[in-house]
Amino acid sequence: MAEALLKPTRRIRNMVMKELRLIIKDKVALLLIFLLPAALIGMLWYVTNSSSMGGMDIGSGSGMGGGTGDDGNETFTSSVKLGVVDLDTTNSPYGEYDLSENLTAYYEELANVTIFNTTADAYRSLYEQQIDAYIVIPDGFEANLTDNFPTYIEVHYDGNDLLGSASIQGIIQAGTILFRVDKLWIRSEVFPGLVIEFTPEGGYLESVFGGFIVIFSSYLGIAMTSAQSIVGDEPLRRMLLTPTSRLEVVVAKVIGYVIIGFFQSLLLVTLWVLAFNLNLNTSFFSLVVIMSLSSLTGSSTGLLISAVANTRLQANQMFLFVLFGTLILSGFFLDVGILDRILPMNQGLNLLIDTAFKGLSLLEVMGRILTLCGFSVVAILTATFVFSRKPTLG
Amino acid sequence: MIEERDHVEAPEEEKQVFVEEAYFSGARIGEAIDWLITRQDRELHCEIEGKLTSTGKEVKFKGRILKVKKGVLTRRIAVLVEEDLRRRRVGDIDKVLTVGGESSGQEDIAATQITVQNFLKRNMADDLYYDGRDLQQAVKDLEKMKSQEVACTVWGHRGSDRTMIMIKGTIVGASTRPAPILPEGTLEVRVAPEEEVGDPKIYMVAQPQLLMGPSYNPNLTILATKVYIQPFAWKVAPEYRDVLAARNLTVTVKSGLKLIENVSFSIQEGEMLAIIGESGAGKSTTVKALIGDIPSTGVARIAGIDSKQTQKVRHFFGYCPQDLSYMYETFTPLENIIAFGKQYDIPEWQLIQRGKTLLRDFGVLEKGNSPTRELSGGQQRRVSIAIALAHKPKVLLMDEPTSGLDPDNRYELWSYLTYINQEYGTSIIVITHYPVEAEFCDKVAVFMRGKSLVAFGSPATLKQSMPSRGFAVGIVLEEVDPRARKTLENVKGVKFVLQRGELLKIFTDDPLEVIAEDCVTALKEENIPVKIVKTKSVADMVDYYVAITRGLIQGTIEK
Repeated sequence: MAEALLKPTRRIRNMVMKELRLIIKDKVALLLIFLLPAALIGMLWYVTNSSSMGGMDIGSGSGMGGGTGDDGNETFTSSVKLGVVDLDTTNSPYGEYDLSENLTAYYEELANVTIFNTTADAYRSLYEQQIDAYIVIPDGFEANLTDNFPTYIEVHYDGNDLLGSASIQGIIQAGTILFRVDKLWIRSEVFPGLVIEFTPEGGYLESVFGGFIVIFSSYLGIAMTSAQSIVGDEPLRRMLLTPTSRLEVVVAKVIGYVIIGFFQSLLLVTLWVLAFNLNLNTSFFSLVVIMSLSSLTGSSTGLLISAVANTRLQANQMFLFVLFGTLILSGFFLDVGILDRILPMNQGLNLLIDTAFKGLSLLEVMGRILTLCGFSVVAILTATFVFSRKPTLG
Repeated sequence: MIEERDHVEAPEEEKQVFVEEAYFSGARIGEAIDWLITRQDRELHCEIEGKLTSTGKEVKFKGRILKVKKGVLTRRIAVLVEEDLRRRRVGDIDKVLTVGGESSGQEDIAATQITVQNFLKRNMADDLYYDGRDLQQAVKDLEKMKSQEVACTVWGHRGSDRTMIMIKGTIVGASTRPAPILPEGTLEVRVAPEEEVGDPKIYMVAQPQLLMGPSYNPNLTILATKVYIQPFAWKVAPEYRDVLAARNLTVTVKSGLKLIENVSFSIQEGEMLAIIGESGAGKSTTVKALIGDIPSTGVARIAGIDSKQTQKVRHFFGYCPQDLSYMYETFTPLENIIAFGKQYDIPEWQLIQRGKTLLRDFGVLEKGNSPTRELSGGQQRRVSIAIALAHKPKVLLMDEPTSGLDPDNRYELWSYLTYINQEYGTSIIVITHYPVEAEFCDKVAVFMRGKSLVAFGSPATLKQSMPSRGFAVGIVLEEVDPRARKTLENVKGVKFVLQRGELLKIFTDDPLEVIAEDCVTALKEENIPVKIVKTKSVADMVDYYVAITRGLIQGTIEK
C-alpha cells in the first residue's frame, strides 16, 4: 500500500525536477518570468515618482475639497451607506437648532445614514463593510462655525474601495455645500478632511496598484506560462508511455510552476515593499504564502487551459480570453457582485487586502484560502479528466 | 577427464540462443571459474551434474551464473536454477545453489561435470547474490540501489537452534554494526505468513559469527549462508513464451469503422520484426494497440503482461517515436535519459551508468554534454533509441525510424539496431515504409489498407510463398522499354512480371529455363534488345511487397 503511494510521489518529484530544470535551461523564459513583473513594479515606481498623484499620503486628514457639487439634490439618489458620529456638544448662541444635527440631516437626504455613538463602533462597521464611510463631527463644531474659526469634519473611508471613494467624496461635498448655502449667516466654512482607512503606511497608489500588480503577476503570469505546459510539451507524449499517469503529470506541472511562482513572489514582494518603503500590516511570510496560493490557482488555471487546448494557438486564444475576463472582473475597476467571492484572482486580491492592508492573520482569512485551494483542486481534476480523454500518440 | 573445447556454432534454421560453450570436469572447476571471469559482463549459463553434499543424491540442472569466487581455498560458482532436470527423482532443490569442485564439502553441490555457456549478450539481470559472510557488501549495494520493495531470499541457520531455514520476504532495513573484528552487515527481512495465516514477522539476517549479540530474538535471527536479492522484484515479468503476442487484435473507432481487424502474430524473445505496409493500413494503430495506448479488443501481450494493464506493461517496452521532437531539446542526451528513465523508478546513478554505456555503444558519448538540439539528425535518432532502452525493456518499438534518412544513414541505423538486438537481447519491432529493410529482420508483418494483416513470417518463408519458391527469371534490358512488360506477361506460363527500371523479374510455376527461353524469344520478336538473362533470379522483399499489394499473390500468416 505504501509503495502504491510512494512510487507516484517519486515520479511526481522527478517530474517536478524535470520541469524546473527545463525552465532553468530556458534562460529567456526564466528572464521573462522574473523580469517582466519586476519591470511592472519598476514602471509603477517611475510613474508614481513623476506623477503629481504619486506619493499621496495616507491618513493625513488633508482636505480634498473642490468638488463641483450637484445642486439637483432632490433628484440625487445614492446607495452609499454613511455613518455619522456626532461628538459635538457645543451650542450656537444664534441658532434655535443644533447645527451638527442639521448637517447630518443634509447627509441623510443624500445617503443612508447610520448614527454611531462612538468612533470605535463606526470604525468596526466600516471594517465589516456595513457602511461605506463615516463622518466624525468633532466637539466644538458648532462653536467654531459660529465664532468664525475653521471647522473640520473627518471623513473616514475604506482605502481599498477605489470606486466607492469618488461617490463618498461627492456626497460629502454636496451635503456640506447644501448645509453652507442654507446657512449663509454662518461666518466660517466646513472643511471635510479625508482619512483613508485600511491601507498600509506609505504611498497610496504604490500600495494599492503595487498590490494589484503583485497578485496580477503571480496569478496571470504563472497562468500564462503554464497554459503552454501540456500543449507545448511534445516530449510529454513520450513521457506518458512511461509508468507516469496523467494525474501525476498535471500535479507535477502545477507544483513546478508554484515553485517558480514562489520565487517570483519573493522577488516581487521584496521589490514592492522595498521600492516604495511600505510598512504592511502583515508578515513577509504571510505575503509569500498568499502569493504562492495565488500562483497555485494561476498554475492550475493555466494547466486547465493547456489540457483543453489542442494546439498552442488555441491555448493562446483561451489565455487571452481568461486574461481580459480576469482583468475586467477583478473588482478593481467594476463592482462584480457575487463573482468577487468566486473568481480566483479576486480572492487573491481580497486576501492581500485583508492581510497586508487590514491586518488580519492567515487563520482569520482561512475561508478565502480554502476557496483558492478548492478552486485549484477542481481545476487540477478537470484538467486531468480532459487530458485523460486525449490519445497519447495523437 | 573431459577435454575442454570451445566452439562457435553458426546459426542454422533456428535462432541459436547461445554461441559459445565449454566443458569442464568437476576437478577443473578453477578453470571453469577463470572462463567465467573473463566473460563476466555477458549473460552466462551453465549445466551442472553433481552430488548434493547434504544428501549425496545425484542432481543435474541448468541455471544462470550469479557469481563466481576464486580464492586461495574457495572455488565457488553461485547458480540460479532455471531448470531442474532430475526433479522427479531427487525432489526439490534450492533456487540458488553454490557449486564447488568434485571433492567439495562446503558447497551445496559437488560438481562432477560442468558445461558453461556464453549467450554472447550483455548481462542485463539486476539480481544479486552474496555469501553469508559478504552481508556488509550487500548492505552497501542496497544503499546504492535505493529501490523499494526489494525481494530477498535467505538460506541459513536459525540463531536459536542452528536448524536449517529458508526465508523469503522483503528487505525493510539494512545496516552495518560493530563486531569483534570488523563491522558486519545485517538485513531485516519482513516475511509475510504463508497462506495469509498468522502475522508477518521481521527476521534479522546476520553474518555467521561465533558470538551472538543479545540485540535480537534468536528465534528470529538467521545466520545466513546464501543471500539472493532481487532489487526490482516488483517488475519481474511472469513466465511467457512469446515476448510479444497479438491474438485477434481489433481496433474500432466510434463510427464503427475497424482500423485493424483480427490481427494475430507473435514474436519470440530476441527476434526482430518489421511491419511494412501502405499508409493508413493500420501499422501504427497496431503498435498503439499493442502498447495499450488505444482501446482494442482481442489480446495483446508484451512479456506475458496484458497491454490493458497499461501501468505494468510500460516497464517492459520502450517506444521510439518517429518525431525527434519527442525529446527535450535543451537537455543533454544524458539528461534526457535520466528524465525519462527516472519515471521507471530507476536510481539516478544507475541511469547515468547505463546511459553512458548506451551513448558509448551508439557513438554519441562525446556529445553527451551538449544540448540535444545541437546533434545531427542521425545522432538525435540514436539518442532517442538510447532513451527508449534506458529501462532495459524487453521489446523496443520504433515508428518509422529511417524515414527522412539518406541510404547511408539508414544502413548505419540498421547496423545499430542489429547491434542492440544482439548485444542487449532486446526484441525490436520496426514500422517501416521500405520493404527492403524487412530483410534485416527475423519476421515481417505486411499490412494492407482495409485488410489489416495479410502476411506474417520470416522473410525467407514469405518469399518462398511466391511462385517457384521465390525464384524468377531475371532479364536486364539494354534500355527501359514500356512494351517489354506487356510482351512478357503474354508469354505462356508466366504468372506475373515485376519491373524495376531495366530489370524485369518473371515469376512462373513452370521450369525457369524454359520460360527464360520463351521470354527472350518474345522480346526478340518485338525487337526489344536484351542485355542479361538470369534463369535463377532471387526475389527480394520489395518483389514480395509489390506482388502482395497488387494482389498477384496470396499472403500467408505463419502461426
